[in-house]
Amino acid sequence: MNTTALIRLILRRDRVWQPLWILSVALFVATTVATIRELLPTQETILHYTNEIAKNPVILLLQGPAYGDSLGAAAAQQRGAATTIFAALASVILLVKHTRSDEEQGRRELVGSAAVGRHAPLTAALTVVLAANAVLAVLITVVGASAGLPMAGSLAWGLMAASAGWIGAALAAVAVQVTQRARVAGALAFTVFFAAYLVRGVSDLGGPGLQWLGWLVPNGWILRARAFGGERWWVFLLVAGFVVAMVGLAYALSARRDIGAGLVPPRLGPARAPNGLRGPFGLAWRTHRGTALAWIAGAAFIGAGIGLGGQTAVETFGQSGALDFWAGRTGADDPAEIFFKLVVYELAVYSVSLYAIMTVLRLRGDEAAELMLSGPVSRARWAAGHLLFAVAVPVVVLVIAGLGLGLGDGDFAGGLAMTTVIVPGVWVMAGIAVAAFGLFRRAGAVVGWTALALAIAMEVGWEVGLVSDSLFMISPFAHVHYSTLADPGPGTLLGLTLVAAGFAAAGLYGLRRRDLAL
Amino acid sequence: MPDVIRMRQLVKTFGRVRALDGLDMTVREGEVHGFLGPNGAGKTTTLRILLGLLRKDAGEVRLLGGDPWAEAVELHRRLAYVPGDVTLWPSLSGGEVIDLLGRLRGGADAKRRDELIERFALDPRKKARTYSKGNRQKVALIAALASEVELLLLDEPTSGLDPLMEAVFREVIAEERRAGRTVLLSSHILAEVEALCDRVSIIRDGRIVESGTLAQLRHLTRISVTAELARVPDNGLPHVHDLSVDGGRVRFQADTEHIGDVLARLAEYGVRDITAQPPTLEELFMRHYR
Repeated sequence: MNTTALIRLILRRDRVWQPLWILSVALFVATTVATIRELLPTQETILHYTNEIAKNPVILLLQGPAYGDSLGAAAAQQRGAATTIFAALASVILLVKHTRSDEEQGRRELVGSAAVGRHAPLTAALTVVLAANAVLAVLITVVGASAGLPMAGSLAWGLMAASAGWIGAALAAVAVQVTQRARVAGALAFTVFFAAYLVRGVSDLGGPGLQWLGWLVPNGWILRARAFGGERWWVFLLVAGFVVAMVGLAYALSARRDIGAGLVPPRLGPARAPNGLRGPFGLAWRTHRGTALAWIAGAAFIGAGIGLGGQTAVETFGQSGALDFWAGRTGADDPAEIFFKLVVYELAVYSVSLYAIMTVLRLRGDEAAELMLSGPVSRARWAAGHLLFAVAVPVVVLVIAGLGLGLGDGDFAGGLAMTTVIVPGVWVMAGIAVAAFGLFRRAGAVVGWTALALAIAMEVGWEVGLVSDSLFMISPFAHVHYSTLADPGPGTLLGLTLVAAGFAAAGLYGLRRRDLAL
Repeated sequence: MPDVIRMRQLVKTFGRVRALDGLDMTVREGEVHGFLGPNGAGKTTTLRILLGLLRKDAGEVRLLGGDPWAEAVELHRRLAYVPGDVTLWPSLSGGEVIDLLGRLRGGADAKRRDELIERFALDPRKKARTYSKGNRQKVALIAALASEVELLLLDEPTSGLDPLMEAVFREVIAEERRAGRTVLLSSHILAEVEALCDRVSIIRDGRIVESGTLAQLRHLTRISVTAELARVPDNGLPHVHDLSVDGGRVRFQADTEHIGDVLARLAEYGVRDITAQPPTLEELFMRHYR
């Protein structure tokens, strides 16, 4: 009864986000099928593609092998793993939001003082998130089937995505019992999921000899459902067993702890501030350093991984002829080279933009701003503390990634050139977020994320030929693109930097003139 | 004495809501000024305009001789603020927040800082996210009180404090007054204002409805009198209100300016016993909200 009321509350609070993420993932599947159909128009090209996949370590690591030689199998190979990551990420975020975030911010206490069972909030959050993933499974099945893919494979793909969401939610349900901090709980749950994902990748890289490794982690079970390649339905029983075990653990832990507390007691901090903590910049360093270092470490890991293992394989794949049509569209002479550039570009541009926008929008959440800004600190200086990270960390991340790329063939300059040109494009995205935050206050987040979503949509549209070259040039990413469309010379890069600076200046001007949203 | 804060016909609207509607208020140098009003009357909005966090729509506002919007940074070196709802940086310890805020103003008095931490019984090593509302308030209060500034702006600073800590707060503010600091204390705890403040302004719906010293405010209103008389006054008493007669016992309210006349008339009926009470701040306050 009261759990029902809490479920309704969650649905009300998430009436935008919940449908949005489910539809986005379903749409992603739909565009994937369309893209693959365009890229691999004949059975021969599909066969070629799937054969090459088996030799490509980066693709095996990040996406997994193809389990068939049909259009569906190729599509599921290309983007199936990505749908599992999206579903898991969304599920972790939503579960943490309705459990530990509520607890951290005191809302849980308000609910707990009403006639609500001790476990009701956890039950309500789990119910909503698990059900949302079931809806996602149905949607993906419908999308796949209506695109002409076999029904069974479409259902398997849907269940793969939903399984990832269920596993993410179950991991998050445990993580929120362990730590008191919502952000840490979310990071913990997703890191576990992603680490298991990479274990699966290593297993796939290692070939038959390492098959067993993949069976140790749930992510291995999910991909080995073999969508469109002789579906193995029983793996979903493993998933169900895992989810039940994790949820049981979460309830057991929840019953043993106080509300508001975690299993890990909070540590004491220093009684006095260290010398570096003197103002907005010192404070920004404390706020952002953890995330920034994690991104830099990730860039080093992925950059070096591609540099050491991936380059030759990607090039072999590019030369295979499977991508000649697509390479022609990008205006490249050498499909191998351009395909390598594509892999690097796609890995770098969206993730680093994501970081930059997230960092800019931390301004919005810096609620202690009232104390800071009642001191002798101008709004511009306060904002600059945060913005420094949005500007500088993308540079560091991309330089590190570029150096990593050079590890394989010693061509550090080439690696750096490939990644660092992206920087001004990312800056423009960050600049748009600053302008939106400064000029529109609360709408800042929506505008910032919409700008990124539009840029991605244009990119995807351009790749399949729906968006013309000149329209695509509106996007800042088109100017730092891997294709010959872009001319990332000093003039272009300077121009983008100036545009970014212009946006930022407009945002700071707006911020100086408007009321603060306190 | 020069005015530390002067506001004339101050207006601030949020959409259709008129939060401040022609507010007039003056705070003089060296006084502790009580700013009284219920929730939603406009106290916090007024303080945020004084801090340049919000921009006024109309009217005039001067703070420490400057314009709080245009000269915010320079003026903020000379003041400290305690928000009504204190949010801290969750990953910093209380001690780190106190030091950070002190250093922003060019360094706080380290001895005073330690003394205040001791008096307010704060554990400065705890992370800000683990503090209760009262402890977060203490962090902001200690940071404000340890900095050597001319003006303290305090927005309901004791709303989360326990009675022991409230007593400490009163002691500290009394010391601040002796040291010549100006304090604007927004509150709805009337006893606190009565105990601490030289002058009081009462706000209602975005306007000041009463302002002055407590003595002046009392003068404007009525004294409650209870008297035991030998004879019952047959045709009432002049200048009194709410007269009730119970045997030889009368109760009434008298206008302060006519209290002499009233007592003279009472004497004619043979006073056996009399108590007269000046209005409490609570009565003054309630008069505007009934």
